[in-house]
Amino acid sequence: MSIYQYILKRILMMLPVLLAVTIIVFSILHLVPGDPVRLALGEMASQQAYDRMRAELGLDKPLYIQYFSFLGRLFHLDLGKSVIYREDVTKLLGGKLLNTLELTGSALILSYFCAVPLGMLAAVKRNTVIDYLSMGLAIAGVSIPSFWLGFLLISLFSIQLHWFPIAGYGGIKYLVLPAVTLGFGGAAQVARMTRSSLLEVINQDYILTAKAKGLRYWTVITKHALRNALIPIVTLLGLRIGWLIGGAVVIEIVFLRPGVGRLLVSAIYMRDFPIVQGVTLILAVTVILGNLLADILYAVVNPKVHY
Amino acid sequence: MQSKRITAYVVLFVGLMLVFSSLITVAQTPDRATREANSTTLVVAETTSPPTLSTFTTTWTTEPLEDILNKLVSRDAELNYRDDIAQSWEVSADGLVWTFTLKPGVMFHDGTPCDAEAVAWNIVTMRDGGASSYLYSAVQDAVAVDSVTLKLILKNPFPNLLYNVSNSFSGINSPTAVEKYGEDYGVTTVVGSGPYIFKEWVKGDHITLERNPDYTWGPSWMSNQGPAYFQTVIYKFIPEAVTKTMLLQAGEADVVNEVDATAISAFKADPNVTVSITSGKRLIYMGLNVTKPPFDDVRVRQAMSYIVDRESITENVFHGAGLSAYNFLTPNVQPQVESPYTYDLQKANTLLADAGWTKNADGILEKDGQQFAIILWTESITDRVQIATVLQSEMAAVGIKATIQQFDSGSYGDMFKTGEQQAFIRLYGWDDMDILEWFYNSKRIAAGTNKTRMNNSLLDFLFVKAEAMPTLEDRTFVYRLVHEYLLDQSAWVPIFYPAQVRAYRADLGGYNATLDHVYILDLYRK
Repeated sequence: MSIYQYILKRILMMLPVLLAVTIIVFSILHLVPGDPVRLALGEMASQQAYDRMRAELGLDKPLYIQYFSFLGRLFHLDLGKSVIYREDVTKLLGGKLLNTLELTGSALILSYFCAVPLGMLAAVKRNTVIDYLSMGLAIAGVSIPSFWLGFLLISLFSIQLHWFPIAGYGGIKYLVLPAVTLGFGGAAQVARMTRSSLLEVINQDYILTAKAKGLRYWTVITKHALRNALIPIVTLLGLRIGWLIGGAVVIEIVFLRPGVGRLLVSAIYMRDFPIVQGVTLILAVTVILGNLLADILYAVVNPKVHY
Repeated sequence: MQSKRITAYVVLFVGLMLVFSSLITVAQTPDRATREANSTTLVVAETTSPPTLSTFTTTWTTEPLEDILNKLVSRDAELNYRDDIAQSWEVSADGLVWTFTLKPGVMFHDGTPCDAEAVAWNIVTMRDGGASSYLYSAVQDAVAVDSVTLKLILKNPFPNLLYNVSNSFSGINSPTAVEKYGEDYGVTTVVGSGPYIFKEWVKGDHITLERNPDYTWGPSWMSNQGPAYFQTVIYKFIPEAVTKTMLLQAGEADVVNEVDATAISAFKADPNVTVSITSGKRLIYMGLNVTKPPFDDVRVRQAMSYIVDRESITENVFHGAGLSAYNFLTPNVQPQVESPYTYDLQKANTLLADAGWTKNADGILEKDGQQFAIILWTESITDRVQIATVLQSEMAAVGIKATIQQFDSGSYGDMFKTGEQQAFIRLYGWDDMDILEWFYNSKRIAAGTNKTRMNNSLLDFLFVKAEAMPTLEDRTFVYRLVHEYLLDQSAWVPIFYPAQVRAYRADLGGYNATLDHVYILDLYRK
């Protein structure tokens, strides 16, 4: 099977997964108590206004009809209208999705660019001060809750040193602290994974052979050892994408970034079904595509991998 | 000769007047100019983002709307009815016709006149299908006699009309804009005649307003009746209390509404921040379902009122940012009545014993083999959960076993429709006596509004009577009877009146706030 056939197969396999996601999310939203129309209108709204809005949104129809009309709209890439904001969900999500991708993308790049060299250094300098420091930092990254780290960074870099604004969005200076906060936990995981994976590889015979041939030490590490060690790190990449999007919810609230995470939280509280369905679907697609990307990258980093 | 002298006096008088007026102008103009020059952008931190900005399609209200829309009548900080678009009003002897005289020359931001016809249109549109149609249910007709005279003809005398035309849901919108934008009105734009013009709304994040340069009809009780000093106002929606605190202290926000009680001491210690604490219009109470045992017995309900140590909750949960509550109405709202309930465990024990509850070997109250075990519902908000925990231990002290059940805010309101609640913690925010009708009229049981499920024909009768009273005094008298009766029935245990705590940067001048709103019109940067 060529890589293109493999990608096509994976994309086709996405469809039943996405269908299952829509069924699960739709069912959960309608099973939990909470009336979106009452929440949107307020408790004191007139019955007339309440009935009219329910009819407008089709919420007075049986559940299966509501679900199939949602699916029908989905084929036209129409995610429906927000109950709370009375605006098209696709329009509402547009700019916010870009903001979230900007944050998660920066966090991902930051975490890999810092963590892979750090993990390599820790492996190469095993049981030295560098190793202990690197892994201490990694343990801190895994254990510190991101919202707390966010407040610490704001306190130091925004309030004390005035290097960055506290919160908001609008340029690179607004992105640094949220990206570092979001990327820190992930970087820790990647660093630990890189270290352990590399340690496993550099003790193997072919590395010894390469060294015996007189190759430079760092050439052996980067060209021969790292390539094989990267497989589990790439696997982690696919998983990290989903984790980062989940983590973005908290970071967007702490740093007041108008992204889909923040929107999703308020939509869940307000039982804004179309927004929750729309965001969940987009996040599901992103996670699936992230994993697909990781699968493709296997072949890039290791030519032995075939599909 | 005499006429010459008179002429000389007139000339002298006019001359002096001119000198004085020019002196005043000289004194005022640089003051306004300086204030305007210093006041470019104001950032206000709000907790909750509004769902829509159209008062016709939601009963949620939001601070920016107070700056965009004028109302017919305004209320000052002491809750007196004062001018807004209407400069004066009078009511006929039979209480059926209210005549409002409007300020001339008031214009909407879209250039159309905000006259009697526009106000009448707003009232009729709201009455005939708006989300807050109850505001004008007593209005039979709204007639624009001329551009500045509006007559409201009522079905029955309704002395509370001024409250309804002055509350947050009664902003006057441009009829032209409402019709032009249709479903998008309140979603993409909102057009009023207030000191600020809607510019941008990033949903869930912020709303930006721009100064209305033509505004000259500010209420007389404000220090500024002309255009606002700040050119741009940004309302940022920030749910996190810590983030709001940091933004204000760093100067990235200028005003914080709804300051968290835990942040007050930090703000007070900060010389760059001023804290404003005023009594609010909210009450946190514990409700009891009168149809469910054991709270179907009035003695048990009264005992619950004696069990709660309100002063301790005020100090330990709210750090003193408010008042202990003993009435069903908030402190600014009449009629206040003397409550018999204080923290008195002896009285509680006596009442419980009278109701047949005795302690078993484990110290738990029992009656007919049944333990006094209840479920206490609460919304999963920090202070509400803390109150529930305190109440749980206070109930345990008299032998009541309470289990706390938490709900998220999205589902909490809906849960009351089931009627399964036993005891519950709830907050309301309203500053008029008619809130008692809202929570206790039996016709509101099915909708889940009457959460105690009190079905009492005497109360229903009194509510009907109160609505038909010709004067405010008579209405207040009836509500006094209602309030006294409700206290006796004890379906609510009032707990705490949260204060309205706001904080603002110390370099702001002209701070002027009511229960509902900080008036940006008066604010300027020193």
